[in-house]
Amino acid sequence: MNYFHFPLEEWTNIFVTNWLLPVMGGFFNQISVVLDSFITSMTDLLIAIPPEVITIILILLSWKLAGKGIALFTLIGCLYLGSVNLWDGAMQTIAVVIVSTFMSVVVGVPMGILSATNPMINKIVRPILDFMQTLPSFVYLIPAILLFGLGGVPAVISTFVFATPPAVRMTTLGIQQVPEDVVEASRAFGSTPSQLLFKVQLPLAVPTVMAGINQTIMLALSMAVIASMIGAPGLGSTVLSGISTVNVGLGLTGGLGIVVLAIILDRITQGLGRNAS
Amino acid sequence: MKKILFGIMTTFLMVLIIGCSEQEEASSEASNEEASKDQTITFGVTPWTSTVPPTKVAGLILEDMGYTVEETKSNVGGVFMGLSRGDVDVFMDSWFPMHKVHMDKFGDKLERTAVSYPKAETGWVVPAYMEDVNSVSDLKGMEDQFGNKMYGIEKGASATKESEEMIKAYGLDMKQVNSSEGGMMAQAIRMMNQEKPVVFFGWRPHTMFNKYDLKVLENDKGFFAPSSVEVVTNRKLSEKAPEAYEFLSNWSISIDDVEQMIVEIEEEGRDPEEVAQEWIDNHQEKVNEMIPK
Repeated sequence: MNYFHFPLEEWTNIFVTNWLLPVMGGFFNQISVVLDSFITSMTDLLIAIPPEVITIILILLSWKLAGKGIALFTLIGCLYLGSVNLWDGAMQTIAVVIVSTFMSVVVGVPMGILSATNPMINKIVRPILDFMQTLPSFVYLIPAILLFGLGGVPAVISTFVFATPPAVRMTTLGIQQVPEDVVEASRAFGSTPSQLLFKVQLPLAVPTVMAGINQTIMLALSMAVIASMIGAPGLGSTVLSGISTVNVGLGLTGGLGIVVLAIILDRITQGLGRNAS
Repeated sequence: MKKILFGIMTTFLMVLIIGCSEQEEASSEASNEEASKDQTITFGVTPWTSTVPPTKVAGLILEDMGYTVEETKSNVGGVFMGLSRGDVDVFMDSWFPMHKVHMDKFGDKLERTAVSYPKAETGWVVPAYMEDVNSVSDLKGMEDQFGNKMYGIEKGASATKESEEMIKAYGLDMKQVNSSEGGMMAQAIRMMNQEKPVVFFGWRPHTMFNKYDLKVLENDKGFFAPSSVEVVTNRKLSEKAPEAYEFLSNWSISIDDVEQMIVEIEEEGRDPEEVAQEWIDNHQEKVNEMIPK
């Protein structure tokens, strides 16, 4: 099949070393500094609040939104995190998840609204989303370090790439699923396109959008271990150091911590979605 | 139309089947010859750059001796685990005393078979443009210039532990940031492009010394003694494949050669097998000495 040589490798390397790093390096450094302070202050805040307070807040939230069983699970889960000495790690992981989810939602939901209302944009955005979801994350982990330095920032960027698509897709889906007759009726009553969007389509789409955000959070958590390969702090690095020293116990301890966080966050965000509807 | 299509399809399939069976015949002939040996040697391969050349060279020589060679890729913990279970027969790139941790874990199932090269330098590395920093003690008091960070490899690596101990011993106000070889190098390249102070973990053989002007920091507390790079095999290999075992126990290669090969593979993008074959061709005498008569 080798009819001609496609020098993708050479081109990419020339692009990165001769243009991307020297010309755009400063710009990416700026982004890195801003994001870094964002992540650091989030982490410091979560670690500064006494664990008991966070636990109580989480229990109340899960009770209100997801019922007694989950509230009990939250209590046990938080006690577990404390008892295996992983509380700080869990907070670092949550900080990365919060920042990257925030970014995904801020970019993803408007993107989804645009694609739902404009078929042209939808045509452009969909293949990009497919690309983002299927490109193996290892491909962009190391380049992310070249641009943003080691630590939480490239982790957030990589997580953003990996976890944004569901937010976009589900928002688009939610708006497109609003029944045609409802849209017709509001048009007949003389609503402007923006009124139609904000007063009819979006409120009806909220449960679907929330489901998308829930997916985004789950994907962000699943990136925790991979992101720790590029210096992201948190439970992922516990798992990683456990695996690389064949310390199965440590790996499992960290892994269970991630599962606990995942279940708590999942139930709370699902509850939010249900309440919204 | 459908019939024609069906005809084409069946012919195509027939051709495929015949083609495959011919290939199978060919390979079964080969395996008949090897039935007397029927030996597969599995190499453990870590993601480190220093693992590739010795593995390829030894693999090619073993293939010449009539063995089938396979490679299993994993991180170092996985490789040693495989060695202990016998899924992996040989690991060409164990560093002592660094990997003693793993040896102690599976001690009775593994053996240190040969020394590849005795003195591989490891330690903390800074770019040459940092003229005032020549030893670890020079870092004291200027940690803030480095953003109070030192970049290391994987979190579970023994070198990582040793760096931690060194930070304590010298009372440095620094934190080690761990990722992987690629992650650390990407960060170091980023800092060196901006001519900023950076200190990270380095070792020979590695292309970093070829690509950048670096110096290994001295320390007077006995950390990072030069490593001995050795071949570790599963204990059963000497029974399973005595000739291969004997060859591996005669194994040695110079650190400069390994570094040269790494540069050719990494920087010039040459095929590792080609580079390894070249080394074999240029060192025929040495190879003949290693191969059991």
